[in-house]
Amino acid sequence: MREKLGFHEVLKYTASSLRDILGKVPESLKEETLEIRIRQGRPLALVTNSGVVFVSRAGKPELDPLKGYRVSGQDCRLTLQLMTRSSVYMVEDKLVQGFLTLPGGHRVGVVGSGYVEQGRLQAVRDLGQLNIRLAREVPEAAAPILPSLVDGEGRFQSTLVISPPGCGKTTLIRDIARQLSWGKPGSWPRHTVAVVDERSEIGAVWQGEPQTDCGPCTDVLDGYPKVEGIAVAIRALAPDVLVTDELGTVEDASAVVEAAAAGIAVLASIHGDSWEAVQKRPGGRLLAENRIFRRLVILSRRRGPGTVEKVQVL
Amino acid sequence: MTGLFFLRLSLCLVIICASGAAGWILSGSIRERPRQLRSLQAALSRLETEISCSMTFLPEALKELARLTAPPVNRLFEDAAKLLLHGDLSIQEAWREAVAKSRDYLVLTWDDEQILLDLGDNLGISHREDQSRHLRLARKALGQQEAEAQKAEEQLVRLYSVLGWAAGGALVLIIA
Repeated sequence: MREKLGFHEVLKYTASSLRDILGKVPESLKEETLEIRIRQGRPLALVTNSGVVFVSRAGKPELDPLKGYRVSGQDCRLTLQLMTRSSVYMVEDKLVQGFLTLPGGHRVGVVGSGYVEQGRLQAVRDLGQLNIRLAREVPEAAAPILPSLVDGEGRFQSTLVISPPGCGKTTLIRDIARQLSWGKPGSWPRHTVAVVDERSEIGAVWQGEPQTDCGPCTDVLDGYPKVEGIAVAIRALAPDVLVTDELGTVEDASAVVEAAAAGIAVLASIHGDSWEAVQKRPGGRLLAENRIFRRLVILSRRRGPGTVEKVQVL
Repeated sequence: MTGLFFLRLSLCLVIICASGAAGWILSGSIRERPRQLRSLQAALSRLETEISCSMTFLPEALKELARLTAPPVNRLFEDAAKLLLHGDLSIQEAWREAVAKSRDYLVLTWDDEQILLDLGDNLGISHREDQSRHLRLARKALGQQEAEAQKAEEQLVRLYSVLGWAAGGALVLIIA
């Protein structure tokens, strides 16, 4: 039911013309919707587990793109204004990164025409392509595996979640962070948690407040680049557990090594389908050489997103 | 006879004073316009600070301007903020509506309004530097309007006053 609620939650951030159309979409389709795609000059589309569906002016699902409602420039402009509270200047850094966060933790991919100066993307204009990804919190997603991620005294052991994109890494680490932060009497104590949320995907902070439940003892460093965020977390927050998403570069891995050296347990995720594949990349190799992680969780989509293939003790 | 003379004299004085006052009242909007244009420029300067330095969302920035700006100009920002916060309008639509409403209480000319409407078309839709640029341009244009308004004030206020007194005098002569 979270998805259905999410669909209704985001409607108020769309232009009234789109809201009228999307409001007429059959309830069953609203529940299945993962993404709402609003693209200037192209048909209004919904992405579901079964594929892309176009929406006609009457709100009817159509497979033929030509029958879909053709989104206008005004639809896009008004939607963006509603999403940014008429203050694009407040989110210009996020727009350069290509996303916005809405209340409820829904993320909007926003792209347009890039303005490059000295080889770097400085600004984005004509923002006519909006992709609303509905937030899907899955409470207790980590419940089956969490007992194997703590030691005999309930202390969390550094864990790396490995999976290809779209397998539920973020959902899983968010729930691990939440459960560690709340604690579970008899199983593990309350941990202080610092989430370095470079792309606002874990905490989905909107105007200073996390939109997802990250737990009562969690600090969210929203929008901080990983390296700087980890340094701040070590220096200023001294958490029991440091959480970050999608390690990629050697610099990210070095920052994680620093945190582990400071005695902080690390929960991180990385793209890949196996530990062996991860170690072939420079960042992965650095993590392996320094023996940062004690547990590995491998995810897949075999039985839908979030399928735990293996929990490995290193 | 003396009583009648004094009555007529008093009536003439009342006519002349009323006519002079009417001239002064009619020149009121001419005297008021430069003041309102100055107030608008100061408000836009504050808006630039709210956007560039304080990093305030536009609806809150407009509310703040409504609080800090002197009446009646503050109503323009108050109306725009209300429309933006409670209506389902874009900033452009909200601003246009607020400017249209301001005709009831501001004494701006068509040219002054166009400057405000042009600004509204660009408010909130671009990055900080661009917002500052548009606000500075609007302030500059309003400044030029103010200079013209002051020149008009100097000439027309005197003209209206003289005409008022003269019309009163002429009426007295006709009646007498």
